[in-house]
Amino acid sequence: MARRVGICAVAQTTYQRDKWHERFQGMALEVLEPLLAQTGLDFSEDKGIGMSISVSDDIFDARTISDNGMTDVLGAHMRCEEKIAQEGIQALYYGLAAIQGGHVDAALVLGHCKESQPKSRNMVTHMAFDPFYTRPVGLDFTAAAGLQAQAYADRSDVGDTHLADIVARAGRMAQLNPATPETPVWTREEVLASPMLADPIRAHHAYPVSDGAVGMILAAEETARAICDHPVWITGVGNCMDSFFLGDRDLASNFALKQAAARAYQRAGIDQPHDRFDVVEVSDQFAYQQPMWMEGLGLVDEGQGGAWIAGGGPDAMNVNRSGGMLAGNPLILGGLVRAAEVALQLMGLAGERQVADARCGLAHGVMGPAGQFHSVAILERD
Amino acid sequence: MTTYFGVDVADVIETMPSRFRKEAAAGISGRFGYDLGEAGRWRLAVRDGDAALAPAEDLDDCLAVVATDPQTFVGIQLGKIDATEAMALQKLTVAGDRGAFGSITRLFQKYLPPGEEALPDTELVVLKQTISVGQTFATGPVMGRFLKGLKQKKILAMRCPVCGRLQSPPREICAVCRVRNTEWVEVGPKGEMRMLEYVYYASPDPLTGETRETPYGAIGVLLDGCRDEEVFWHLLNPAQLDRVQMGSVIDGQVRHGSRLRPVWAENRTGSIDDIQYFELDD
Amino acid sequence: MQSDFDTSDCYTIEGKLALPYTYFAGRVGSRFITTLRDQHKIMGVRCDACDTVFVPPRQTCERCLGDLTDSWCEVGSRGRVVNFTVVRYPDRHLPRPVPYVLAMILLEGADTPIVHLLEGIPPEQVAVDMAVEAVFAETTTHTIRDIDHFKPCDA
Repeated sequence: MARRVGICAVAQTTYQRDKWHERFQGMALEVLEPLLAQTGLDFSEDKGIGMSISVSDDIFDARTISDNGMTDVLGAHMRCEEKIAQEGIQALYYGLAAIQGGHVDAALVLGHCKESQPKSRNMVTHMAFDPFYTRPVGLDFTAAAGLQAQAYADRSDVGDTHLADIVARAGRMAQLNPATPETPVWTREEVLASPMLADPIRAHHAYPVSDGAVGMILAAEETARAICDHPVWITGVGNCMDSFFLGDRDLASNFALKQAAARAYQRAGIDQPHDRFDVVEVSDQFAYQQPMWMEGLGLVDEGQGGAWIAGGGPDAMNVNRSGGMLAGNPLILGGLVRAAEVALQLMGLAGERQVADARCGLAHGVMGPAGQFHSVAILERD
Repeated sequence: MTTYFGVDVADVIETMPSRFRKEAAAGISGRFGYDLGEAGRWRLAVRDGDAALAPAEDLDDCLAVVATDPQTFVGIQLGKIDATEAMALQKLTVAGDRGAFGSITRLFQKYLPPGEEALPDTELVVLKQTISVGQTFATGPVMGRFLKGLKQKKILAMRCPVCGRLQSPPREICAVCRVRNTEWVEVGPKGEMRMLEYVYYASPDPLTGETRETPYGAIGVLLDGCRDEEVFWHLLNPAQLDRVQMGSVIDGQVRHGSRLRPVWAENRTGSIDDIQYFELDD
Repeated sequence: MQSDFDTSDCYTIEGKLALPYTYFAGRVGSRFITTLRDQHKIMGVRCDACDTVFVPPRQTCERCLGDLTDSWCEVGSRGRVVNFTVVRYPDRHLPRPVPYVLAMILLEGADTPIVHLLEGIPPEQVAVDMAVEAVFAETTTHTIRDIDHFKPCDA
């Protein structure tokens, strides 16, 4: 039986539109110091943190091997370090593997991103596409999301009003989250009146440009119990990658997400996910993604996303109490922040957004054009 | 002789001189050996662009000798077998000057079995593009203070409160001790050259899009006040590349490098280029 | 930011990330592009095992890992719109001034739609299932834009 791995501490900066006054290293230190203080761990060879798992995107950072410039603030000097480049939530998978594999007993996870650094984040995500077939038609993650949002709209019962309510709720939730001090609170009418970005996605449906950093300490059970009152166990992880060309995929099918969720549920021993989770955090980069990913996770019946929203489903199921990615987390960190938020809920440290007696949660991350890649993590506490 | 892939190996060998592209072989000469197992041993003599092929038992006078079996030889000629894979599997070996042999193989026209017409070569499409995304880089307080120091012709370092080492440019944290650096210290501006790299190839700087003139000297300077590995990285006055000496400490033996001073830019903006380069402090 | 954060030494520097690249289309891609450029023919590759015609073509079938190198087939230069969005945010990497229609077009004989520009019709009038045809470019870019855009046509 593989040993259990727990999240023992969580720290994050605020997520803001423009942290012009900070560079990556400064943001990372704001996360590293509280993690060390909370756990009492250091980087000593025998009993300390044995591995630093960094998260960053080379194009956003404008620096290849973007982790190499962060060695010092990762505590990685003369230690083991590896970078998660796909989506930050994968750091849980990586840490789980390293700890269960017996390589280390404790790992640091630390991710950073400043979407405000490049002149246009759409130009950055444009670089995910190939130079011959897809860049020449201007594809970026926003346009790709527009195509998916349209495909989803054609097949689902989700309409413009439902999406407006998702955005309005995200703003209200964000008010309770000290990490998202700049999220605007819009009314349904204001969202409905916002101009189209990539039909049917409206400007207010898009997650705002965000800068920030987030981190965790993961540890094997014996270590976890020594450094933390309520370790949050990673009981299931699953991920799945869909095709690259949008035409190779069925954009409204949630193919990759269904696979990722099934793998995570199977590993966590969950047969009936529907009523299992006290909190759910999904990476909604655009408003349509909240109901769509919930359907893909099997937590909302397929084609019923709109009815779910209209019936108060997000509140009833404690979805995105943090405000979600819609409140403003940078790309590549969204899923990791979701995991951090679920961990905080399970540790009873979620402040005003706390769900009483939360014991089991689901965190979701997504990356690539129109959700090409999905990753799902199941977190539980004793 | 025998047939491989429907092709007579003798035909492949005997057409080698006629397939040799004289116009591309100007100035190339040498002897190249082909040890083809049952298909015999052959010497290709190239001189002033001409190639002559003859059977030869003794290939010791060859610049390079390729040894392989006839099937692999024919397969590679026809594109059915990958040469690199064959080498990895040791079905093909090249003894001697591999580089020269590689150049020679590229001078032969592709072998066409008798009766076959040459297919038009697929044109290979290559696209050249420069990706350019504007950036707003943040200094943060630590790098910001250092860069402002350069504006004032000062080189600043930070000192680790635990181990006392200096870092310039400064970092938020001492990597070794994993604690925040706290103390600011002015160092240099003069120092001793500890490392020099002659750089002949300059990649375009992705942050500016510009390419430095080459050759240039990338240097590590041990500024006054610093010690051991606390070197400061910058550039050397390119006109002095051949006049400078690297300093070193080997087995306790200290050899001092050239004494250098910074040359400040007239117009300083709070950037590492506020120092144009270092030069000899004569 | 935290109220006690001293920003007096903080500032920003304008710069760029500028990298020159040389991209190779691959042998399969080269054949696709040169055929498009010289003959105004759009080629796909067919995976017999998966019974699928892929456009744009690729060397390997991602589903069964079959080699598709010599499995060419021509697809039509007409097709139908299966999905679309209207891009309305201006930016430097975009091929047209906004707003413009980005459509997924299933060409005759193909099983996978391509993403391309749709012009010659107001965005509000674009509908799924519309018949469209390729308009080839005057000058080559050695990319899919050797089809300049698609326009509506009779079904």
